[in-house]
Amino acid sequence: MIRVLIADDEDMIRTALATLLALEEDLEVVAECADGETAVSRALELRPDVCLLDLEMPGIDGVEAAARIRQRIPARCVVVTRHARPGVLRRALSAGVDGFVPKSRPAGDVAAVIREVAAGRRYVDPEIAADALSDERSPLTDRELDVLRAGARGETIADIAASLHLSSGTVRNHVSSILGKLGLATRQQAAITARERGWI
Amino acid sequence: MTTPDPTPTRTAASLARGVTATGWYIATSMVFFLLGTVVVWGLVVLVAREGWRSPVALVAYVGAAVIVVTCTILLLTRYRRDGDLDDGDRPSWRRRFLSLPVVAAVLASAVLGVVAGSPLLGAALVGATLCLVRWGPGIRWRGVVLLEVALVVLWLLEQAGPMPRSDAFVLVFFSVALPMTQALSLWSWDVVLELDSARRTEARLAAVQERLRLAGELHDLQGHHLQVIALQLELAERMIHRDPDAAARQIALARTSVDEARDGTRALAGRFRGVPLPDELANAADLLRAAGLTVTLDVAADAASAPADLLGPVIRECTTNVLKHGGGTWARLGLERVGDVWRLTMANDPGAGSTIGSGAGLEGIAHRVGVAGGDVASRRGDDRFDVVVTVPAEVASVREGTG
Repeated sequence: MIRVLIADDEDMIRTALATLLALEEDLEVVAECADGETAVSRALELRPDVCLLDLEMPGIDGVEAAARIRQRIPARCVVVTRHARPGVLRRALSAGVDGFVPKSRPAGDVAAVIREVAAGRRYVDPEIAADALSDERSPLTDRELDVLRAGARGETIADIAASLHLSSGTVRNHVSSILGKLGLATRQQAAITARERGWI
Repeated sequence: MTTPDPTPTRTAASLARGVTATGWYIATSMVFFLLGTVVVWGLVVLVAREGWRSPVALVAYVGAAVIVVTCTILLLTRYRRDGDLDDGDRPSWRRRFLSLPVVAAVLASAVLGVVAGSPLLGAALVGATLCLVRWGPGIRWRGVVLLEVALVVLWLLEQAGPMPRSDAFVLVFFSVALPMTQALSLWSWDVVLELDSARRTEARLAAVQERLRLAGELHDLQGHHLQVIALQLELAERMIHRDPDAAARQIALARTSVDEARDGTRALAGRFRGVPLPDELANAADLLRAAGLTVTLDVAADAASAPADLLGPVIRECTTNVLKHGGGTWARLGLERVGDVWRLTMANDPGAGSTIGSGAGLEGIAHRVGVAGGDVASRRGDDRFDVVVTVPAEVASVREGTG
């Protein structure tokens, strides 16, 4: 019996998926959670074999939840998503996620992925991999990304300079170069763009 | 994301180059005008009239002139940089005026005025420096007008004084014209940048319109499929007691409709994706590294001209395979041009128990590549799996020409 934990904030999808997976003879759904924090605490308590985590959940997302679960127990984690934003697969793989499936897959396929992963193999859906390969590359340098990251919450130039141990002038040089490369007018727009495209 | 048409991109690149060149031209002419003023004053006053009499004065003059010119260059770089930033990110007012280049240039200008014995020269240079500071809207030109009036008054006062220095026309011309020239040059630079940003906004607008069109098409597509699915489900509901088998068939049909809707949506979105081949390879390397493999990436510099529609699927298939089966420790990706063919090589060490190389996905690709006159070869060794794809380079150029 493979013991499965399901986390998804959409009740209808979670309930339907849990019911369908429970129909499989070798799967047992041990917990259904509506957000990432609950998923982590329930996983640590119940020690399931496989955690099926929705990517988009309030609070911590599926990848973050998977990372926290993997730190503590040897459960295998599969992340499910409706629309993989750029950079997510890369982040998931670094976090040690074992499976990545789009929500569009029928429950039978999801069960097959759970079995694959439980057997110690990894599963990355070709659709998601294809999307990840056609991500736009970032034209920014690592330092420029650092500047955007340090200023992503509306910090001032002086704050960024202090946190990166740079002079204000250098930070302004970086910001000017970022805006030039992206063709945008403000640092805030640049930070939003970078986040949307998964660069930061 | 939209993939821009190649023609506008090229125009955009050359326009961007034009804007940069204009910036350099304006900055260089500003520096030369300043140099001209300082050199002419030096030659006329220190050399022609005083005949090298005081080496101390000469050294002070040259030193101060070097400081003024250096600070001007620094202030121009800063002016250009702050032009990109929005107001909140620019230095504070205090910092704009009390910064080293401004203070140093003002002091050095005063020294030049004293050494040359002319308040007119000193005031003109101070004014020119202050022009380079970013003022609020509409302040600079008013300041310059006032400054020009003051310079003329100063010149008249100097003429009435005991030792008029600025009596040659060329000296007066350079001094009075300097602040005005600097201000006008910066103004034209600002105008060029404004126009450039309007051009970029226009390009973004085109992308947004394209997205709106996509949203419309998406709406039609989804609406149509939802209607079909609703009908099929309604039918199934009516029949479920009378004819359960027929109801099950309708439900199966509804599921097929869902798949069709999904594929259609994907195909629609896929039209707006697509990156150059080198980027796709770099993304593949990033993903494999994130999965814990050591990756070597070796891509030819002109790889962007390789046929992406043939080689892209190979990269996708191989990367998915490596990720899916896992267990390996290294991967090597390469794209090079050998004579008149492009050669894509991908190699990795499949982990134990891996089924890699069964190659079902590669067969379809091999067929397409074969039609285009290329070749796909895969070989599974004891501890490595190799895929080598060769595609004639002409395929690429023909497509570019007709597309």
